[in-house]
Amino acid sequence: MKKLIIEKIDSLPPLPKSVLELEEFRRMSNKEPLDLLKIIEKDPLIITTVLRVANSAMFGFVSEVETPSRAISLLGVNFTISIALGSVIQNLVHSNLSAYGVGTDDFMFSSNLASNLVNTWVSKISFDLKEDLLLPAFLQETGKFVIAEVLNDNGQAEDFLEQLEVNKNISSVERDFLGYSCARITANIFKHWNLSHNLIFSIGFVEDLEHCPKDYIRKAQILEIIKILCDLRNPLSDQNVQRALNKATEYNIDVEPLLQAIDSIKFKLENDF
Amino acid sequence: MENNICIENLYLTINKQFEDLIVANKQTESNLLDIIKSLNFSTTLTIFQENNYNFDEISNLFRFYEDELKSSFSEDKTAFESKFKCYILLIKTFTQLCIYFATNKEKRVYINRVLQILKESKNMLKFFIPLKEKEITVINNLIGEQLYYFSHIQYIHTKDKELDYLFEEYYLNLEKQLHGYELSLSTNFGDKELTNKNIEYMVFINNSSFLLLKMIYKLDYYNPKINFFDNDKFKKILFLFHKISLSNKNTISQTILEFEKVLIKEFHNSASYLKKYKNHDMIEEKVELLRLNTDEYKQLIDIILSLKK
Repeated sequence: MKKLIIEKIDSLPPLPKSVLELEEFRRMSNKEPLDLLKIIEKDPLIITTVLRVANSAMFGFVSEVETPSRAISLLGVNFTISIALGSVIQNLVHSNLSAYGVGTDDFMFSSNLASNLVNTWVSKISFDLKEDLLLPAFLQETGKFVIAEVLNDNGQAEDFLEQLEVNKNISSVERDFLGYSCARITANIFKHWNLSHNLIFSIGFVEDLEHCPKDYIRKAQILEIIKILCDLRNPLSDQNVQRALNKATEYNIDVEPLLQAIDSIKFKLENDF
Repeated sequence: MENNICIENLYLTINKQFEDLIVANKQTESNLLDIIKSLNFSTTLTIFQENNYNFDEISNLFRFYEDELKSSFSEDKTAFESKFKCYILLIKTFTQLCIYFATNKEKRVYINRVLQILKESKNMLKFFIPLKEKEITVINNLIGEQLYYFSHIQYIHTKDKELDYLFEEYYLNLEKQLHGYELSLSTNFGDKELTNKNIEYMVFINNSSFLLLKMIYKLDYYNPKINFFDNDKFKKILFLFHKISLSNKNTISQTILEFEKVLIKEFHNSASYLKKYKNHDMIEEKVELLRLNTDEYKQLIDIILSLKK
């Protein structure tokens, strides 16, 4: 199984340059809108998504937002980066997630939910932490595409799904079938793509705090809580909210801001549909 | 936060203090910080300490307001309305603080950061709360104003930058002003009954002509041999300005001197209009900005001051 996973990771296409450029740009202390514009303008998919979001009714911009520069002006640099990253990953992940009993839309919902949690909850813990965790939270389930493919190739997808129906803890089922959780596999994918240490370590040691380097423990704890809440199959379910709150208490993290963030995101979701 | 009557009363009191400051032209840093402190409610956030701004705490203050607005939106509409007014007042106070920063060489670098926090918060609010059209209109007008009132202030560093890149940077700033003005115009300037549309256009054209005058003089200071008209990126700026300038819409300047004359004329006319109808001295305000970099803008300062005579 290990060999198969490594082969799958090695055969992955290179990460689009725009992701690396966006991440590099996001971490700059002085973010020049012109530099962001230059990154976005190279990628038609990003342009389309940014314009689609900017023109959505919720922002209420009466005249049409027809250029990326206008979108950056009106939405601001940080908002535009989040949308741009979302569109890149959406394009990357077109594999079959049937082993998990979900589709790509569920995956995107879960990834966007993770970003929302970082913005609303982690920003209250610390601004730096929010900056560090925005991308890891958004990307931490990428490994599920490799897992799903390996399970399909091995003819184990149905058994895996059956087990998920019984055991609601996705990570533990992943470990039972593959010997590794999604976190470890995602970290290896990012290693393959030569992404930053912050990304690899923060994600790789989620649910493995025992081996986690000291500097990354807090990040891995927070990502684990986000992972529970953004469960691909049952995002924000009562059971997962309770699990997340229990984890926060166990890790000595103030529960109140977390609860507030969950409530406000739920409220918005309920009012949108 | 306290109960509804208290919040409304608090808003009325602080808003009165804010308006008094504006009328008396006493928007000093410490007065504005006092207003912000009063709008902190019971939070323990310290946004200013030992002459330093803590931008994390400024972000947290806005997160606090967003949370308060989210919870009262679903639970108590009266409280939401009062808190929304406090939120808008907080944005206006930070905007005034940015105006103060603009005239301080050390602090003007804060402007961009504060404005990004304000813009992020306004969009977060629209993202998380199904606001009414009226509230979206108010917020969008503030986003627009922020763009056409401030995009000329940012100091553009020329060191290690290619000329093409610099022209693109100025073009983007000119576009920002236009995007902002068009957004505010589309909201009928926040549906404020007393807003004079001509005044807002004059503010916009005054700031955009000033931005481009700064560009010409700054680039010329560092490289007097620049042939502006040989550069396509510059031509984009030229065409865009002629497009937005109501009195020069149908002509295109053929030389840099001609273009400069157009800019000075637009700047002068709009400044005179604003002096007459708003009693606002744009010439003095702009000269104060230029004096932060006297070397680069010495000639431009003289030209602008000569307009006063």
